[in-house]
Amino acid sequence: MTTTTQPAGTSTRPSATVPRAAAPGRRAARALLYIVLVIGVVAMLYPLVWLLSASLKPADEIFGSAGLLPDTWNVANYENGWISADGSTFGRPLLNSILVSLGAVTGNILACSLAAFAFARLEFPFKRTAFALMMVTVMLPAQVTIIPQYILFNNLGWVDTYLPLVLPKFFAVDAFFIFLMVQFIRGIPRDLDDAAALDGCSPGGIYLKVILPLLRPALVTTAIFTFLWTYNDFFSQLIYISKAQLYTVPLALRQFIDGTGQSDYGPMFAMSVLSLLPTLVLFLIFQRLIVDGISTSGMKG
Amino acid sequence: MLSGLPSRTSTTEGTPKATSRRRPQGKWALLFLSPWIVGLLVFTAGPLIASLYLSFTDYDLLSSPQWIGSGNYTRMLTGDPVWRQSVVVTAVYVAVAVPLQLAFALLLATVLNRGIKGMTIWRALYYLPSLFGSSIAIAILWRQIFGAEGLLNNVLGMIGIESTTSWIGDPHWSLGTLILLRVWEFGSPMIIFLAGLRQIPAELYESASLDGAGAVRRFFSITLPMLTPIVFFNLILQVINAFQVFGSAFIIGGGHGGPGNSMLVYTLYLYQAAFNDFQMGYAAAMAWFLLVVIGAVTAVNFWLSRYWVHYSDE
Amino acid sequence: MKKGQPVHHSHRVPSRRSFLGMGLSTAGAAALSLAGCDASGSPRSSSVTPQGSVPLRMSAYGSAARQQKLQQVFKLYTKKNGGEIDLELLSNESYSQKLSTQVAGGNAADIQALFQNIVAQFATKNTLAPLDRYAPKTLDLSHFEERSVSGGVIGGERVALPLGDNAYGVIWDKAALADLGMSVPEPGHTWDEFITFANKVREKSGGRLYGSIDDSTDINGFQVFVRQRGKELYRNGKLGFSRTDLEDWYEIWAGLRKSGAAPPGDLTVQTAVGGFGNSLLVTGKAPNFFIYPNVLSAFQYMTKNQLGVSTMPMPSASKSGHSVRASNWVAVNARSSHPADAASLIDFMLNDEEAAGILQAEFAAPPNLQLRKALDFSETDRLFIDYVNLVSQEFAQPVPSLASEFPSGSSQVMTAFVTIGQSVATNYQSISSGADSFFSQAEGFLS
Repeated sequence: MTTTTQPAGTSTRPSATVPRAAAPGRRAARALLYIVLVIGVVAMLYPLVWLLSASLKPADEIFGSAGLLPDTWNVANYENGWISADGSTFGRPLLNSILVSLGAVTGNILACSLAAFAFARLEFPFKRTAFALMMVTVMLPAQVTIIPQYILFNNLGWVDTYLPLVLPKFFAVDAFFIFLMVQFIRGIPRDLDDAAALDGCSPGGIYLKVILPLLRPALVTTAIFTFLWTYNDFFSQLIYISKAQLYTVPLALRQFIDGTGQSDYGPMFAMSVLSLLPTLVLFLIFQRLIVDGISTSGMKG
Repeated sequence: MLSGLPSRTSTTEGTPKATSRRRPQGKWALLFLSPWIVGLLVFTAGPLIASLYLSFTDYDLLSSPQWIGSGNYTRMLTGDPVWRQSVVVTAVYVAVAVPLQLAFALLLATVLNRGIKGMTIWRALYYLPSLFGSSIAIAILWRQIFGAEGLLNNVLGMIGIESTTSWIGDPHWSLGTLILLRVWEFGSPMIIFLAGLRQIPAELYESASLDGAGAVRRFFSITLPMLTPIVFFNLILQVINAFQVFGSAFIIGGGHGGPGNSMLVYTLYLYQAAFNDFQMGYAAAMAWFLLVVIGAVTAVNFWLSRYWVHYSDE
Repeated sequence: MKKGQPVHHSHRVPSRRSFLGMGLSTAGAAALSLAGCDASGSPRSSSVTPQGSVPLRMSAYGSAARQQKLQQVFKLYTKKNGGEIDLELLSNESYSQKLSTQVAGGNAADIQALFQNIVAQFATKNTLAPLDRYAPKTLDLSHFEERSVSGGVIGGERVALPLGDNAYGVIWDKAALADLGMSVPEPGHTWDEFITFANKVREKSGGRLYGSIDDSTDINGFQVFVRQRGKELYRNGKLGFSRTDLEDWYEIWAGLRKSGAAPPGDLTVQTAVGGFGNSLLVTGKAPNFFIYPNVLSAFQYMTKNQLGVSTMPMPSASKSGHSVRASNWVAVNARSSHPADAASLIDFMLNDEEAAGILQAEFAAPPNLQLRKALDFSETDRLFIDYVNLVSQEFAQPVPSLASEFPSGSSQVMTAFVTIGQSVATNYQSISSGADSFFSQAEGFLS
């Protein structure tokens, strides 16, 4: 069993079927393949495209015309959805969500890298047990701990603040990322560590000067996934946040379908599209890293 | 193929001299691990024990917990038809959505693996729904799509089928919309399958086709068996995840369990018990039941895996 | 990918119980914090005169429009009395849960708006301050109707005051009916007349309009129905009506669905979510909505059609099932540091002429009768005020106390009523099976 991490994105022995000489039957099969793929993509993405087009249609057209292209393009929905009845904008929940997610990212990067370094590079008693413990917590369903956590935070007076959402991250509760980083660190040759140690570096120094810089890809992956998961985390935000000023995107969107006084779906769709943008942007920029992060996190060849 | 505890390999890397040099690292380890240890005790282990204790009490948040022994568990298992329904709904959801999702993921991965041009783009496009899938925006959209005047009925109308059914309003179909949402997000397992497919040695395929095996034969005799560890991995992951579904069920079900509680997934009922009805003790009992079930199902999966998972390094 | 869980290479499931030992000390800490959450307590200040210039917090539920009005009222108050008032508008649903956690955490607001169904729950947990000590100097109740304020007396203490008198009814789309040459049913119309009317609407509109929405999942409407038969939803903490009553109720709506006058169940389910804007009334598919009509202006805001109000159908005027009582209440936190000032603010909200002019019918008809007569309401609000006055004069029946109307477990019964009603409406369950389910579930919740 190897311990090296495959460099992201490459494969040593591609096993994609080699295209043979393009016999007519084969060409037809290939064409069919592309057709199927295209139909598949259309079916998969149609809801998203429809969402976008509905957000640009005036209210009476949303259900009236089944066609994708609006008869009249307008951004009125965006304007109406942006301003809510009490004068605040949708920008507030957007900003809130981003802030909370960034806080979570910071916490995870710091705490998980520290723990991962210990597991991957340090020797200490009960290491096996501790590691096993960590792995178990990864599989624990959130519901088992949520109620006492809620009670704890309630007694501390932290309910209706962002503290319950961000602070635990600074204590490495997302053990999945510890595991991710452990795997990554084990791919970094020990020689570098030893060289630094010979120069008189303490483990702390090794962590800062050797491991952390090389850990960057894993850190980025951690950051991206933490951001994505926190941004979309409905359950925790639902139970811990009630003040309207603190609403994050999932809660603000829910208001659209819950609140009294919302008149039509147009603004709701428009704000839904808007709320998907940060995720989309993140994806477009880091697409390679996200996809490879998924595939290498569990797959060591 | 899947890495386990580091200790097995780290000791092989250390020379005796190096190991003894490393022993005083206990202090450093404590330092580095201190956030994790605190987190484990305060946010995980502590609450875990506390919730076990709570599950034997009657606690409504306004007054102190009252010990009632196994009262919650008795009520849950014998006296609560709604609880039973939530178990059935969740079981159906897991049993149907996960295999369907994995099947699509595998199908697409296989198709995409054929060395087509622009694979990165196709892969990204198919992954896109997964990216958005867990967001509330999509759940809201889903409610709309399957409404009486929604997209699905529009599309059906376009191909000549008149339908005015509100799919989310009809208890016979509503769970199906939830399942469909999960299946739609097959991007992540698909990517993992893709990575796995790439690791199957090409020589195997070459020698098989030299022997005259067709594409379908190659799939079932080579691809599938070689992929079983990945299938297993995806299965475990998705099953554990599916048992915990909440956000989409909450929104699509309208904050309750949908018509006739047909979309009352387990975690939703748990949430209602804890945060609507103030029955924290009861909710804690429900949570422990979930934990045991997930543990049992995972254990069974592991046990069964020896019959169908083929590790190439064995 | 959702939270991924990497997997051990071994086939054994790692033991989850291995960390139990470590957890014991933390469990102790956690248990200690649990034990400390008994929320009952006595008021922190025993003075009955307001100090003035103190910070106060109020929590309320409702729309942003309500928030604006309240804040205007607060501005008026602080101009006269100094201090600072902070309004927390919490979301409508799970309001009581949020409030409970605040109470348990010791940081609930000084003043709490409470919907009728949770007043008793909080009162019996000693979380609401007794208010009589502040009357009559700080709290003037002289212009309130006894029947209006009596609901706030629970366990012998007055712990809540009505924010506005209300009466259940039906909002009708006057304009849409006029298009069909019909008019809003007269208050006091019978069930037979209602059914005929609904069928007529359906017919005359050529199937374009339903004759009525399907109200079978509405427990407030059912309460009126049950009261028409001389019964109550609850009696001594248990259900106060029989299976037959429930089945008869379901039969009415099943009949309307069958004749096409009421929409199919799945449509009712779908429109149950999404606020008023999603209702069949606003989207022009049905001509009515059963609700406490203080929200008439909220509905009117969303549709160009002129709306009207009428009673629910009833067997006869003497068996109306209708009553006048506040649906929105206000109370003072038992652990408030400034209870007297809180009482003073409530008095201001209810008795000050300018404040009443701002709030108008936001919380329903002002309980101060003198003000109610003197105020200049908007046209839509006037319709509602007139309706409340009408019911009060001609149809009102006495009502039980809030404690007996909303016993412990009633919120779960309410949820079950909706769920089972939906189940029956969509033919997922038969009427008799639905009644069975409801009774067995309700008995469990109320025990």
